[in-house]
Parts: sequence; structure tokens; C-alpha cells
Amino acid sequence: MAILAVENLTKYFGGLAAIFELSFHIEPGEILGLIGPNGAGKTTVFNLITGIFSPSRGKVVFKEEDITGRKPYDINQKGIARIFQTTRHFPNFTVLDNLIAGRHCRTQAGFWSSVLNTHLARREKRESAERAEEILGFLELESYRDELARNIPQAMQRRLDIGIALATEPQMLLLDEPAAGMNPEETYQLMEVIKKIQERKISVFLIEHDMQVIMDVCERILVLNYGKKIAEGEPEAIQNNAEVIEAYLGSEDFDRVRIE
Amino acid sequence: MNITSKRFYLWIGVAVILIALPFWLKEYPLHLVNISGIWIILALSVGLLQGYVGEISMGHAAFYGIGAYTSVLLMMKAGFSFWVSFPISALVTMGFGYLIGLVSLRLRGPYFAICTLGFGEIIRLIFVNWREMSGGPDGITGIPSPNPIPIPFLTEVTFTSKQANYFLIYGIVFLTIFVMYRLINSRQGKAFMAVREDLVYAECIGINAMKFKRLAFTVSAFFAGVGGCLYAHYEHFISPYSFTVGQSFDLVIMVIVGGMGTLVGPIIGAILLTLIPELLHAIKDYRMVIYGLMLMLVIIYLPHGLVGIWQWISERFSKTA
Repeated sequence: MAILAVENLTKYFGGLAAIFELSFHIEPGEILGLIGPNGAGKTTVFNLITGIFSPSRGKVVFKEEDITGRKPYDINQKGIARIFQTTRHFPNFTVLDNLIAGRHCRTQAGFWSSVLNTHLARREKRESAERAEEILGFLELESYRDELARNIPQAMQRRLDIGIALATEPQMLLLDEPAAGMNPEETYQLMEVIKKIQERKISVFLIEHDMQVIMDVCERILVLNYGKKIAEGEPEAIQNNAEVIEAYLGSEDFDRVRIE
Repeated sequence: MNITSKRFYLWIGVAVILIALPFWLKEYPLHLVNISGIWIILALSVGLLQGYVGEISMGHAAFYGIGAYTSVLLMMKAGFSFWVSFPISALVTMGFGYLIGLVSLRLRGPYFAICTLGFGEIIRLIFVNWREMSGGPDGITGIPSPNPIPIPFLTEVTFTSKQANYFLIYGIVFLTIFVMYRLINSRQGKAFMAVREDLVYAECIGINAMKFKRLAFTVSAFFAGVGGCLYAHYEHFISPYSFTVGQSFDLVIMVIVGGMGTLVGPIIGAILLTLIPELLHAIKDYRMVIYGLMLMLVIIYLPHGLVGIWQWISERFSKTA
């Protein structure tokens, strides 16, 4: 049973169909890649799934529950976390506090519980700190623990973004160009991280321009162009798909992979 | 001496000074200290919203007024004891806060500020025009002090003296600080700050921004009501002129001058802005000019408020040490 099923998803901005009749699904624990030329609507798909935009038509079903048009915090609590295309976290919080903020939605202490510092509030605080420490270890961010997030290297900030998303305990993670602006070494490390995330039985939906990453990591790939799905399948099949090559014609990304 | 015992003695010292203060101070300075206490509660209430959630309320004097009028009317018209009317007035103010928050918190930044400004003005106009209840522009005079608390077989504690009011007001000040401190260091506090830093992102990591903005606004209104009630029974007189936009602005300025996003900031701001106009009696008419200048200087040179100076010094020290 698919963990996420998108059916006939359509989004109009004015008269423009940014996404048109898009259907696909993701299996539990799968890594699905999403590629397409600039402006194809990849990030829009993410925004529609996570509730930033609500679709004009169509359905998003997560774990057999219709989540179309729900609020972003609600969708996150259901188990979908994302990172943004641009580095996004709380730059004025420490790295640890960023992760604890991510844990927020998995804690319940109410107002009185917090003011009276009850057993529940203290236990949750301790658990959040423990989980945050664990994620620090998982992503090898320990040495930046008490630094302000804005002061750590860019690649580490991207990693922190993933850490915050993991702290919300998702079953599915949407990664929007995680390798953007990274050098080959950092990209390689990122790929290792993504594979480690999959080992945790978390499905990954990945937008990436770096074809090396896409081809290496993804089990299946979805290709968008002008808001429509033009191809879907395994990496080899996608690489040889005439329509995909057509869409990418002149684009260095694809040529490079093919020559290599 | 290790650090914890040093801290312990420091707090003992502070406690001794605070308990001795009302017996040592003369009538008028003590009055100023008491008034400062009330402004501390109000500034903390605005500071929660402004410093932690990042929304500036320009109508807090309305909540201050609702607390004051509710308690006074309950006591003088309905014959309630102060000890009953006090919590009720705070809860009524909280209710108003919840309702106004429901509408105004849909807006952000300057739009929210203007919306609260509008609500503040509406409520002030109600105070002015609902003569049968509020006494209109003349206000209400002869407001009784809090009822005495009897201590069986011995005596009773009355609240007519400035000393007794000092202990009442500062008791509540400490309770306010305690609640705020706990709240800010809890998951709710984290959520407030997350919303302040980046609302959309906060929602994407599962924080219901609206819920927590509403919580902060409601708690903030509650404490503004507490301040208003204390003020009415301490001054024995209220009128719509005590709850104008001017007072709302004073509160915003107190928080900015003291330092946003801290608890100490609003406290320092409240004390300073209560004492300065009194100490400079001769130039009282230029109060707003002085405030304006102060605000400009603070915003340009001390973006973290007066608390920023202390942080700067302690950072310097820890670097050289």
C-alpha cells in the first residue's frame, strides 16, 4: 500500500496551470526522485503536498487519509516533513534549540503543565533533549551543538534543516534540492545521509538538479515538464526516454550524466 | 565559595533589600516604587507578546482599563470582596483578550498593531460614553482599598497603607515573573519564539502558529487585567484618561528600551520610564520628547535595549577572562 498517493493534482495560478492532472504514489521506505527543467513545477508539488498551497483540483492521500488542503502544521503532525530549497531553519537559535523546536509537535504539555512544571512537562523536555542529541549524532553535528545556527558552515546548515525535519519524526521526508551549492565531497556525504534516512524506514521524495545524486540514490524517478508528468520509472529507463531528453535538450545536467 | 552558594547569597541579599525597602523609604518614593510595580506587570504582559511572539500590541491600555473597571464595578456596584473581584476582573480581561485576539491575530506586523490600536480606542470610547457604568469622562472616585484579610484571634491585615500595598503589588509582580519565566522556558515559549523567527517555517515543522499566538495574547491580556485591577484599588480613582493610546505606547516603549525578548528588559524599562518623568519634574511637559529621543537612541545604538549593555559587558568579560 502506497504511503502517499497523489491523484489528479491540479493547481492554477490565475489562468496558468502550474500543475496539471498529476498522479503518482510513493511506497513506504522508497526514495522517489522528482526532476524537470526550471519552472516545471517541482517545488509547487511540494507546496501542494505540505499544505502551503491548496490545490485547485485533485487529492493528496497520506496513509489512506485524505490530507488535501489541510494546514501545514497538521500535515507535518501526520508525518510529512520537508526541507526548503533555500536553507531554512531558525538562524538565531542554537543548533540544539533548532532540533528541539522540531520536536515541538511531538510534545503535549499544556499551559498549566508548563507553568507548574509538572512531571509530564519535565519528562517531555528530557525526551526532547535526548532525541535532539541523538539526531546531532546521526548527522554528525555534535561539534556545532551550542553554536548559533547562522554561524555554522552552509553545508552543515543544510544538514541541520534535514535534522529539524527528522526531529518531527516523519514517515515521509520531502527534500527540495538538498545538494544545491554543495561541493562534490559534501554532496557525497549528503547522499550517505539520505541512504541512512531510508534505512530508518522513512520514505524520501527528492527534488534535485544534480543528476549524479538522483541517479545514484533514487529507486524511481518522476519527470515533470510544464506541470505535467512526462515520464516515470527507473533511472536507466528515464535516462533513455526520448521525451525526457527532448525536455532537457541543451541542458548541461543531462549531457554530463550521459557522457559520464 | 562556589557559584551556586554565591547565587544563593545574592538572592538572599535581594530578598532582604526588597523586604526592607518599604520600611526604609518615605511615603512618596514608596508610592513611586508601587506604581513601578504595576507598570512592571503591564510591561511584562506586553513584553511577552512583543518580545517573544514578535507582535506589537498598541491597545494594551484597553486591557489595563478593562481589568480596572471590571474590578471596581464588581466591588462598588455588586458588593463583591476585592479578593473575588480581583481574579474575576483578570479573567474577564482574558476573555476580551481571547476574543480580540481571535480577530486581530489574523493580521501580522503593522496591520496587527493598527488593529489593536483600533480596539484599544473602541474600548476607551466605551469607558468615556457608558456614563451609567463607567462614570464617563469624570471617572470613578472613592474606590475602596482591597478588603482586609482577617488573621484569626490576632489581628487583620489591612491594605490602606503604602507598605501593605507594596507587599500586595510586589507579591503579584513575583507571581507574574514566575509564570512568565516558566512559560517562556517551556515548549510554549519555544513555539512563541519559533513563530517570531519564521511563521511559515514554524508551521511546516508542526507548530500551530495561530494557537500559540492566541495563547500568548490571552495570557498577556490576563496580566494586563491584573495590573489594571491593582492600579484601580491602589490609586482609588480611575478615568478613561488613565487608559489611552498614550499608555499603550508607553508600554511598547518600555519593552523596547528595556530590551525585547527578555524578562529583565520590560522590568528595567518599566522602572526607568516610571521614575524618569517623576525625577525630572521640571520638564514633565517634554516627557514624550524625551521618550522619543530615548527610543531613537536605543533603536540605533542599542538594538537589544538596555539589557543589551549588560550582555555586551558580560561577553567582553568572558572573552578576556
